[in-house]
Amino acid sequence: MTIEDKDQEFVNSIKSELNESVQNISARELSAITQSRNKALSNKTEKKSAWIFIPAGAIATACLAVVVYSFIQVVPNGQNLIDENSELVSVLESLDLYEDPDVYEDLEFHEWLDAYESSS
Amino acid sequence: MEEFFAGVEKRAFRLAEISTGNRDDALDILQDAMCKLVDKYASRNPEEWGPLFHTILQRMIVDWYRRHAVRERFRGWFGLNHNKNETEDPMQNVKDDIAKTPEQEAHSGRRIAMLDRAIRGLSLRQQQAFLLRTLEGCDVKQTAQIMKCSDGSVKTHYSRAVHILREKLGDDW
Repeated sequence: MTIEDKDQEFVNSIKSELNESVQNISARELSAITQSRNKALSNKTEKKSAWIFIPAGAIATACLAVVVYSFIQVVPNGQNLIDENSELVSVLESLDLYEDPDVYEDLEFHEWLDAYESSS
Repeated sequence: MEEFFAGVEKRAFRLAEISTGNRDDALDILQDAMCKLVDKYASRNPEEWGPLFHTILQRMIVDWYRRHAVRERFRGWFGLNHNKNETEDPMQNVKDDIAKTPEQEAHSGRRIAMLDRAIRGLSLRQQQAFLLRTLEGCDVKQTAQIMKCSDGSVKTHYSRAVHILREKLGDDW
């Protein structure tokens, strides 16, 4: 008998022992294995039902995105607000200018200056 | 899927039990592997489930082995394992929860217990190659695919495993 034959015989012997051990798994262990299988398969069912909640999550995310986008859009309008404010400030400044008492005191001079410039 | 599991679960449990030496860990590994197959690959062709399931199972056994090795290292650092030899194969240090008393071993499970211990003494890759080929009946190509290595590596691991087991168990096994 060659070494390969001896090895094969040895392996066959181990194989039959291992197969026998699989057949002789205790009832307690078999029950635990069955429970494991059922748990794995029930996870699949639970996972399927979990898909129902995904649209709700997607809608919530979309709403949040819209809110965030609308806030981002405020920035250019804010720029407009600043422009409007600066215009208002300049008007107020000009109003302030006319409320300056010196202007009223020199009003006659300014009227004369206008008349002189327009005549010349 | 249920039919598939019913066909492979007992051998897969034994494979995990031999590798870990612990029934509870073997059951956890089996359940995790089943859950992962269901979660990720249930929609695949049923013919692919076998190789996929064994690949997942082997990966989980390797993960368990790594976690165990790390745990052992921490135990060593904290002085919990005074008699450990650093060069020892960590698999040989696994607590053997299914070890029985000599009287119990003398009954029906004696040879199996001896065989399990001898296989656990192999390196992880040798164990994988040997168990996939003998217990699962995979050929060299399938084993290489599951172990993510070349056909040549499988042949080497398998041949060394047989040689070591013959030395441990004797020719009259």
